[in-house]
Amino acid sequence: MRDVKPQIREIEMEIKAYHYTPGPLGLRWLEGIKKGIIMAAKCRKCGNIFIPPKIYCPKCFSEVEDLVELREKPYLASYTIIYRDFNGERLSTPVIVGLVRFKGVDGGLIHYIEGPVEKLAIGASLEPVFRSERRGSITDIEHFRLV
Amino acid sequence: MKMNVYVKKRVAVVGAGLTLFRRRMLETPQELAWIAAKRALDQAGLELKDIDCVVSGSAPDAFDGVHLKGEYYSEGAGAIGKPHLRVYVGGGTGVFVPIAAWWHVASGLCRRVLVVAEEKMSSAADPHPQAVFRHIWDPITEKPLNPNLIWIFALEMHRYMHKCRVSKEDIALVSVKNKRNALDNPYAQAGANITVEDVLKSELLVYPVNRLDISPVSDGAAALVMVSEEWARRLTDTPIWVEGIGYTLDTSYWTNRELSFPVYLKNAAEMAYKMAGIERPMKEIDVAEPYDPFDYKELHHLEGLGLAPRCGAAEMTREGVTQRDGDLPVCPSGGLLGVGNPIAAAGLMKVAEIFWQLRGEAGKRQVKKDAVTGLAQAWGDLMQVGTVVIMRR
Ligand SMILES: [Zn+2]
Repeated sequence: MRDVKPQIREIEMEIKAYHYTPGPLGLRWLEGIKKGIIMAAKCRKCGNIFIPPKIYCPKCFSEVEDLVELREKPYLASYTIIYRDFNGERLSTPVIVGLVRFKGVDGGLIHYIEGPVEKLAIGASLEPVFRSERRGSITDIEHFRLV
Repeated sequence: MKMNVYVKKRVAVVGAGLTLFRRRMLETPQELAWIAAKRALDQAGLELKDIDCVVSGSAPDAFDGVHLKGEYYSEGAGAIGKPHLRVYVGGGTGVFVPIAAWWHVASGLCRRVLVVAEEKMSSAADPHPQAVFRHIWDPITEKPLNPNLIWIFALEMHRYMHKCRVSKEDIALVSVKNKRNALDNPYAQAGANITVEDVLKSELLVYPVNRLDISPVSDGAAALVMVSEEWARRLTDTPIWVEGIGYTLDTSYWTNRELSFPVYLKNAAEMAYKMAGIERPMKEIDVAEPYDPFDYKELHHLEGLGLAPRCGAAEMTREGVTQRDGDLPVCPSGGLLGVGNPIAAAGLMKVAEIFWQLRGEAGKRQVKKDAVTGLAQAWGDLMQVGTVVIMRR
């Protein structure tokens, strides 16, 4: 066998930091989260209500300008329990990650789930728990609590 | 002339749309794609449900910062639930997208195709979008020197200036013309009234390239609707026919090319001319949008396309032939130098401009002569591919 030790090492990646923009409606949506409100986009043409908000309707392809507040409690559409972290280390406390959906709303959010384990079930009712310090990010929601 | 490609269906463009080209757009890549797609559909008089297939293009994922970005923006490009193909041939992508869309229609596979190109370069914020090209080099012979893309352009420009006896002043005239043309383009980012002296006095970046020789970093999207002949006749009285396509590769090693003349383009142009039955391009092409990420590239590409004699593009430019009221208007849109350079979207913008010019819909940018046949071109991969589309009224 030939020696295949790397002759040339190149460790730097192309881009060190990306600046992403949330879009005009996405920005208003994040501002809402900063205030502790979860909203959805609503299409005037076909009535589609969806998250995350975009300036177009994924269903009918027309322009979308409106956000509506979601007042009803979301529910747990599916969940998983994480036992090891990103690097494969065993977690001292397993983490629950859920697919959070709102009735009558297209789309959903992936987020952390906490609360009494006996209530952990698909279909369980949830409520968002916001951080006290918020910056307009999806992580302003600390987790969704089982209720 | 006999055609070199078997064509089952004739293909027409019936609608085009653009977003603003800007340095930092708030819209997401999906939203940029949607704005352009929706405008193209509106001009074609179609709705998304009328579209059979979607063909899209975008340059490296590393610009937008989302891997598989074609899949990511596909919803905004209208591709959900439809056959979708994203193509990528570097800087040549924008003109390659309508070529790939042409296959879809010419083969009879799809009758109405939505064609979308998107780029959001400003996401690649640190250190700068140019760093995306860090790993395009030969890892053994070039990468250890840490080259920058502008080095290569500078070496090519210098070689062209030397072989063709072209001055910096001659080259600067292209930047002056294109930026001025862009003042009449409502989508443009870098329209300006500048002088040759402004270009020469702008910051020297990499000899002989000054800042105003280069197109800016941009975000944006462009779209077309391309359809079969029967649909073209049904939708409009003024379809613009895609009469020739060309795309060929030169060697990956830029060191192995005669840099003063773009062979990659000569071959691609010959393929397109043959298909379109064009024997004397200088006489038969009425308006052209060659790829102009740098001002010298417009001259270089005019020669590669056979629209100027070898080493003769500078003289044509000096004499005003390439102005909007000249015999061969070149980059009436304002080009990448004036409109902006969101890579894939910039190339497709050129095809959109030729479409509007041939329809007489270019407004204040409309060329003076009655343009019947037009050409758009881009350049990419490892600086080795030429992509050409020829259209006729
Ligand atoms: Zn809708």
